[in-house]
Formats: sequence, C-alpha cells, structure tokens
Amino acid sequence: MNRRIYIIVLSFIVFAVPSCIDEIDLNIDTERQFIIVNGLVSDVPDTYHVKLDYSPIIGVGNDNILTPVPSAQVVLKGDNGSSVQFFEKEDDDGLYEAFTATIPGVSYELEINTPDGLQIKSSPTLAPEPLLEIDTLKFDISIIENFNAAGNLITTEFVDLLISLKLPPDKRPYIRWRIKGEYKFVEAYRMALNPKICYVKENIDFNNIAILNTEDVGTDELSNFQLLSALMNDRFNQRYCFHVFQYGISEEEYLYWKRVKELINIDGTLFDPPPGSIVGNLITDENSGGRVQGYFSVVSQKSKRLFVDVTDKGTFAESVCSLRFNANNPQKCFDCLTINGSSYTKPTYWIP
Amino acid sequence: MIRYVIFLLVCCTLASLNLRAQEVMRDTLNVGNPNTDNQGQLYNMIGEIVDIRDGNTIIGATVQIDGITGGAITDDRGEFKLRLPYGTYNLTIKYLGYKDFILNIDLFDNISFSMDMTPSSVQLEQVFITDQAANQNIETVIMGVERMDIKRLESRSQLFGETDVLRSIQTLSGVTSVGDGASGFNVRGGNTDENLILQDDALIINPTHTLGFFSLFHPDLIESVDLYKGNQPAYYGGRLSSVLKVGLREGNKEKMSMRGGIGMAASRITIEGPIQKNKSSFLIGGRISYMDYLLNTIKNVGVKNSKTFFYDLTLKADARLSDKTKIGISSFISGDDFQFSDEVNFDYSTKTGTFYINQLLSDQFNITVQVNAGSYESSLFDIQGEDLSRFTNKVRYLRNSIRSFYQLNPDIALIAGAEYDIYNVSPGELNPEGPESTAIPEVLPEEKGTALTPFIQLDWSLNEQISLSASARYTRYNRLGPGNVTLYRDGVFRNDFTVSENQTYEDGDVIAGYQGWEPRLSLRWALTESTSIKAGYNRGFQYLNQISNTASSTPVDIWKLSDFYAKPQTSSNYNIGVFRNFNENTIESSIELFYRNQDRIIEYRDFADLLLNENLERELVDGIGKAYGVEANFKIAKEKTKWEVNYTFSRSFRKVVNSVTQEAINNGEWFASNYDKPHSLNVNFSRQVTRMTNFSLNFTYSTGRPITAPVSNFSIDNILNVPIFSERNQFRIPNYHRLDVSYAIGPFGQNAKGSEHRLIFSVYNVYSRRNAYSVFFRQVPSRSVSVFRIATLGSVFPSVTYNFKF
Repeated sequence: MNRRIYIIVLSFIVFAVPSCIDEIDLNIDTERQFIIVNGLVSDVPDTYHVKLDYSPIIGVGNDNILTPVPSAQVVLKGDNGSSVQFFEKEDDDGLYEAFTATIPGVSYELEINTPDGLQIKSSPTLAPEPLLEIDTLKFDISIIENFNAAGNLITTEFVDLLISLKLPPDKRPYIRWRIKGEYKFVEAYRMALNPKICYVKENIDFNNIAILNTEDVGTDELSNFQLLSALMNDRFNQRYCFHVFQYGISEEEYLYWKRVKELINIDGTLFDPPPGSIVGNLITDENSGGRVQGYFSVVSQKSKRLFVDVTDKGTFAESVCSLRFNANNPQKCFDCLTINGSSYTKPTYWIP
Repeated sequence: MIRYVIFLLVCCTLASLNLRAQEVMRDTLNVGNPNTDNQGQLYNMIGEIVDIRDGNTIIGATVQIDGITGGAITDDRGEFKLRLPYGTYNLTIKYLGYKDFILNIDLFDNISFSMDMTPSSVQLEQVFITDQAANQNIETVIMGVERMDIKRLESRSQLFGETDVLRSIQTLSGVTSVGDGASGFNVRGGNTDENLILQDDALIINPTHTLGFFSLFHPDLIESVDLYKGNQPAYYGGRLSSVLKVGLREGNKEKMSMRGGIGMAASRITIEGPIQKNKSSFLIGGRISYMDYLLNTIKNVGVKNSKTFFYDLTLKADARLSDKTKIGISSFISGDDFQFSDEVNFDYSTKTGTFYINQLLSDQFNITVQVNAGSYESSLFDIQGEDLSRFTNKVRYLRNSIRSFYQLNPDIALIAGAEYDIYNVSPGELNPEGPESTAIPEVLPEEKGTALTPFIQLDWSLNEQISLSASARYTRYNRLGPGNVTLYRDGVFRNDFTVSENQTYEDGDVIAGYQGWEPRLSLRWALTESTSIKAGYNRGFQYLNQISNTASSTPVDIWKLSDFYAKPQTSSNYNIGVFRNFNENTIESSIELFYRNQDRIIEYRDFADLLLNENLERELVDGIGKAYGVEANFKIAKEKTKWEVNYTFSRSFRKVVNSVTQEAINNGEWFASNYDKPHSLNVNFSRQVTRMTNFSLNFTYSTGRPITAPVSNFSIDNILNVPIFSERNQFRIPNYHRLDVSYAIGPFGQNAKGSEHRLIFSVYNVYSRRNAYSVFFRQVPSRSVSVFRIATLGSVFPSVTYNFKF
C-alpha cells in the first residue's frame, strides 16, 4: 500500500500544471441597462455636445456597443433664467449639440426628457471662474525597459507631454486636462511620384485621466506636470501637434474622475481595494431605479497647442512605410485618407 | 483525478482494520489510616503531573474519577486540585502523547503528590491517544472551545512540510479564511482583527509570516493551542470573535537537548536544558526561511525576481524558586521581508516580552502577576517612480495583569483579577527614500489609549448534572490626547465644507471615554454520562481595530484605536449545543448553534482613502452586523485510526444605515460580509499504518466568499469601458476545496539518550485545485469585462521535511 501511495503522489507531481491566473465564469446574469450621459459646456463660445446612450447588457452581443437614445429633449438651464436647447444631429443618433457659452458665477442644470418618459437632471453646478493661462507646454522622451516573456530586455520610447503654469495664491482650482492630437502623414511607396500629405486628427488620450487638485502642489507654480505619455511610433515620424484643453472643474467632478481613474486602473493585485459604484451628478426619478451614469461638466476653459519634432531630442520615429518592400506596407502608405480622421487640408495653424 | 482520491480513501479504510490494544500505567497511593469515624469528612488532594523525560509540568492533562461525574484539568502550574470525601478512588490521568495513568488512592487524609507521565512515543508499540479526556467534550462547561496539541496539529495540512497552527485551526468548524495565503483567519463570520491572539499570553498583532502562507508559531515550541470561538473566560477580552491561545512549553529541566527540522521552505532548531537541574530551565528556538530558490523556478519574470524571507526567535526561561513560587520570562522576535519583482517591497516585525510570577498562597489560593510588552511594525516601500518612499505604521502595547484563583471547595472556584492595557498606535508615517526622491514627508499623530478591566469568574458545579461558569468584566477605555477632533454639521456628508469646529486636546486629555459591562455565562446540563446540553452568552468590546477595505487583510494594514468617531465595536454572542458520545466515548458528536449581533462595526465608504488620512472619519461608516449558524462535529477514534468531520452552515451580514445618503451602503439593506461562507466541510483522517509510520489526509470545502462584480459598463468622454459594479458583495467567487495528504516515518534511530529522527512527506493541494484567492476584472476586445482569478497556491505542492531530536 505504501508503494502505491508513493506512485500516486509521484503521478500528481509529474502531471500537475502550475497556474496562477486564469479566466473564470462568475455567472453574472443581469439585464441591467443604464442611460449614459456625457456632456460638457464651458465659458468659451463654441458648439458643445451632449451624448445619450443605453449601456450594453453583459453577455448579449458585443459588450462594448452602446445604443443611442434618439429624440430626447435636452435643455441647459441657468439660474439667471437662461435656457439653451440642444438639438439632435441629423446624421448622428443620440448626439445633441448647441452653440453656447457659460457665464462664471451662474449655476447650470441640464434637463433631459427621453421618449420613454424618463427625466434626468444634473445637479446644479456653478460655472467656475476663468482659469489662469497655460504658461508653457513642452515634451520630453522617456525610455521604459521591460523584460519580455523570454526574459530579454526590451526598451520602448515614449513622448511625455509636460505642462507648467502659475497657480493663484488663494483659492486653488481643481483641473482636468484633455489632449487631442494631430499629426502629419506622408504617403510613401516605391515609384511614388507625387506622394500626398495627410493631416490626421486623433484622440491620443484614450483612458488617460489627467486631473490635479492644485491644493496638493506645495509651491505657487506647477512645473513640468506630466499630462500624457504617448508611445513613440510612426505618428511622430513627421511633425506632431498636441492640442491641450485645460478645464477648471468642481470638487465633485474632480472626485468623479478620480474614482473613474481608480476603477479603470484596477489591475488585480492582491491589495486592490474593492470596487464601488460611481455616482455622477445625474439623477432620475425614483421609478427608474436610478439607472443613469455619466457626468455633465460645467467648466472654465483655456487651451494651447504644442508642435513636436522628436528629432529635436536627438531621436527619431521610424516610418511604417518601407520603400523597399511595398507589398508588406499597410494601406495607409498608399492612401493616407484611409486613416481615421485624416484630411488633405492643411490646418491654418500648422507650421512648416 | 477523482479516482486517485477514492483510491486513497480506500487505502486508508483498509489500513484502519489493523487494531492494537492501548497500554496504561498504574500506581497506588495510601494516605493516612482508615478510620470509620472520618467517613463523610472532606480531604484535599493536590496533584502535580510531570513529564518523566524533562521534569516539566504538563498543562491540560485530564483527571477522571471512576464512578464520579466530573474531574479536573491540570492548570498553568501542571497541578490539579480535588476535594473528596473519605474513601478509595481510581483516578485516570490522560494526556495526548502519553500513556494513560491509573492511580488508586486510599484517601484518608489531605494529600499532595507528584506523578510522572511517560510519553507513548518511547514505547515499542505506539498507541493512539485522544488529545482530551474521553468525555471531556461532555464535561466542560464552556462551549465552543477547541484544543489542539502538537500531535493534532501535525495531522493537519502541511504546506512545504511546515506544521502550521493557523492552517490547522482552519480545519475546525466555524473557522475560515478568505483563501490560501490570507493573512489571518475568520471565526463565525467575524473579521480577522476580532481574534485575540496570544502566545504565552503575549499579544500577537499579525500571526503570519510570508503574507499569510505560514504562521508565526514555532511548532517545536508549542505545548497546546486553545481556540475559544464561543464563550471566553473572564480574563480574556478586547476582541469580539475568539481567543486563540498558543501555549509554549518549558525547557527541559533534566538535561540539555536539541531538536529541529529541515524543510523545503524553512528550517528550525530548538536548544533547551536546565539552568539548575529540576528547578529552572531555558529554551531557545528559532526558524529561518530560504524560499527564493523556489521562486526562481517559476517562469513568470515578476515572480522570478521576487524575494521573500522570514525568521523568528523565541527565548524562554522559567524557575521554581520554591514549592510555592514560580517565575518565568519569555521573549519573541520575528521579521519578514517580501519584495514582489521590482515594484513593491514590504517588511514587518513583531516583538514581545513577558514576565510572570506565580505564587501559591495556600492549597486553594494562588496569584499570578504578569507583564507583557510588545510591538508590531510594518512598512511598505514603493520601489518604482520618482516618489520613492517608505510608509510605516506601528502598534505598541503594555499589558499588566493580576489574576487570582481560589478553590473554595471541590464544587466552587473563583477567578478574579484586573488588567490594565496601554496602547500607542502610529497610524502612518511617510518618508522619502534616497536623495532623489521628491516624496514629501508626512506623519500622522500618534494615538494613545488605555483600558482598565477588573474581572471575576465563578465556576460552580451545582450538582453532578448542572455546572455553570458566570463571569463579568467591566472595562473603562480612554482615548487620550494629544490629538485633534474635527466636528461636522449634523446630517451632512463629512468633508472640508461641512466642518463646524476643530477641537484640540493636550497630552493626557481624554478625547473619548467609553465603559461598560461584559457579562458572560456558560451552563452545562449533563443528561447522562455521555450526553450534555450547553448554553452560553458572551458580550464583548473591541478598542483596537484593523483598518482595511480589501477582502484579505494584509501585513501592512494600518491599525486604529477607537476614538470620538470610531466607537468601540460590541458583540453579543449566544450559543447552545448538544454533545453526545457513543460507543464508550470513541465517537464524539456535537451540534452547536450560534447567533451574534454586533454594533458599531467599522465599514468603509466606496473608494475609501485610508492611507495617511488625517480625517479617517470621513472614510469610515458605522454599521451593525449579525451572524448565525450551526456547527456539526463528529470525531471517531478507534485505536490507531481517527476521523474528524465537521460541517458548518453559517451566514454573516452587515447593514449600514445613515441619515446621509452617500454613507449608506446598498441602500441601507443587509448585505453579506466579506467572510460570509454559508457552507464549510472539513474531513481529517489519520491512521497509524505501521509501528513507525503514520498517514493523514485532509479535505476541506467551503462556499466562495462574496465579491462585488461589474454588471455593465459605459464609455464617457475619452474613457472606454468604465465598469458599473453591482451593489456590494452581490456575487461570489468559485467554491473552495482542496485535498492534502501526508505520510510520516518515525521516530527512528532512537537510542537511550533520547535521540530520534522523523521524515514527513506531504502533498498540499493534491489535485491541483486552482482556488481563487483574489478575483479581478479585466477588459478584453469586444467584451466589457472578463473575470480572472488569482490562485496563489494553484498547483500541487509536494514536500519533504526531516525532523531530528538529540
């Protein structure tokens, strides 16, 4: 018997396959659907948008596809008696727009009435005082070293976008930054007699939440605060332009984005705090079960742009378009308009 | 895989058919002269039970008297006291690992005697001895008490061949943990910080090494482990769920000896001997780990670059100054260092020191005075980034107690005394590491608190059927200055904008004071010699709290004293049970029901920011809790074979209702606590296969713990797939189950000088069950969120350990 036990134990030792992380099914079977509200207005006159969607139902089709909410009534009301209606764009269901600007010191409230009788209101938010101007924007190159699965050292270059600004001595603001990108792309292929040039607009700050409670800054100046770290690839082969939008936001909105940041950064370590429900500034009547998510922002705004040429830092970003092996080149090397957000039109502000 | 398990079970069953008789030792004592005039006269009998090998007294040995219900258990001095009428008696003295001793006494006068017990392990044929008196489960008054000695511990699951107290007690009914490697354990649905953990009466704040994979207790030094999960004796308090008392043995008073073990993860050694022969002894024991070579075998680069190390050292000395006076000192230090890849490093250490003096004032009266001091310090070192920094927190304590024991008559005993505790808690200090660090130093003010608790306990056998233990503690707790208290407007969310006043307290000022009674009552009604019904009530307060909102507590969690906002937590525990033995006490069974309700429990707001938070009251919310359940236990002991099976059904809930909407959790409804595991089953089988080999098998199953899971998601602005989580703890991780086996060979190589050797082969998690320690959610293309589990011990772990003794 002893011998058999040893054989069994040995069998387990030989065939057991260690594993630390694997996917499991928790049988999360819910049909809960939320209305998602996403909108912003600022003190700069412009066309602003409010987006209304239904959230996907987990396990039904593509979990990431949102369903637009069409034909809703969307109105921005100020406590000074002002009222601005947002109209649905003809070619874009669920997207509502209006040309407007907020007035500092006025409290604003968004009111939404959906076709199925649901009323959603944002909590009244005081339009913040105008922010100080952005002092300087600059970029730097950083190198991250990692070991790959084979144990080899891999180096990756990133373009870091840095901001500096002076802070007011008394009431320190909460700030959120959005960054939009634009770059020049030159078609490149063998026998290209007249390669075309595209200017491509992109959302470079996907899942990048750049926020700051300036009370946490010990000095009266924010110096070289990193807004973004973007992977340096062929987008930086030619000139790149960062458009930086600086929003003065309320404390409630700051906490909202801070919690969103915590949620999307949960990486499964043993010491992660438990997740929780995010509460935005939108409420519905009790009968709806409170199923609304999102945030309607009332902000003050400043903006600035920075052109980047990585060769200024003694490095270069390789093009994906090879002149020698045309067959393997991606389609954009032959026709740059196939890139999302691209245009042949050179922006008026583009530098040579 | 299942067929292997079935095969193992069949092998065990076949092996159990080989039975042998149990050996006993006998002696006779005649005291005084028979005189019929003295019939009916009561005489005192004081016995001291001593280990024949080293002269040390044996604590917890049971004494039964033929024909009389009731008996005695040897106390901390290894003594028992009985007051019996003139007559002749047969006493049976039992202790696990020793031969039974039957003593025939002609009691015609007062008597005191010392009696040597012989270990069973030196016999040619080993015998199976239960670790308690045959019907102790029927006789004891306090219910919900579990005793494990080293033999029983060794028969439990062993990871890397290490006998482990915490892993072993998790095989008892009503005791669970959140998963493999969890730091601490949960008793009857309570938090890990609700367990009072004592080693030789010194307070242990964190009882684990290596995150929680090993316990702090050196197995070669352990004399006994007692877990009070129902009612607690009057002299223990300050925790709501349980008391885990680990008693260390004394050094060898006869001769120098050494023992130890070499395992795959750690090794240990113990040296002991007499300072003055038969009067005083010392004992030094230590352990050290070397697990890095195991981590290096893992392919994952992060794990390969990780490091882990622990050590502990115990020093103990005791002396019998006279027949009536005994003193002792002990000291314990331990340290842990853990680094995961090049990301995070943390270390933590425990230090304790104990001095006691025990004075026998008369045959019925003794007093013990004890002083304990200790500390627990942990630090978290962020290795990456520009803000290289070290976060530390610390708990220091000084506990002074006096305890007296008075045996009024054979049926009534009184225990009375007082305890005075001083706590100093440093909840957080951040310091930059290295000259280039831009981290800003930050120190939270130290918290200071005191607790004075007089107590009294009456143990009374009303008659042969009914016994009771009634006790009361009265605690006065003060949270002392210096310190600040921020007051807020009523009924509003606590934040900077709702502050109404700041109050400042000087050194020694009482910031907050609380006091109250902690009554306790245990009743036993013996229906027959083999059946009893027991009931109990226990109320307690807790002043020292672990602040952690992760499902598993960690070694670097901060601690906090009760204060103006975090009022002392309270718990009322009710128990009732039926205990029945069968077949001449070879089969023990019991069913216990328990119910607890708790007030002022600490819960956390969503996204609570706990580290270096000067206004922690903004993150904590008060709640109430309840837990209930039924525990069924079966033990079958037949010569060389022993089965222990227990099943627990229990639930644990919490409720946070608050006038401020944002502070209510799950809309103020009851929700499952992190430790709510409704079903739990443990099976332990051990069998002496041959004269020198022993096989044991452990199977454990429990329902998965609750978690909060995403039920939908949304995108907003530039942020994709923000998960929308369910209400707190609405879902559960997969159920937990695991099978472990071990096979011990030895002792072999024995000689007259007492040397012996043992080999233990063990396999942990035999069928490689990937039990989830942690579940997390990650986004994958075209799906909102996918669920992944981390199985910290997700494969089979074989090991071999060599133990020696010289």
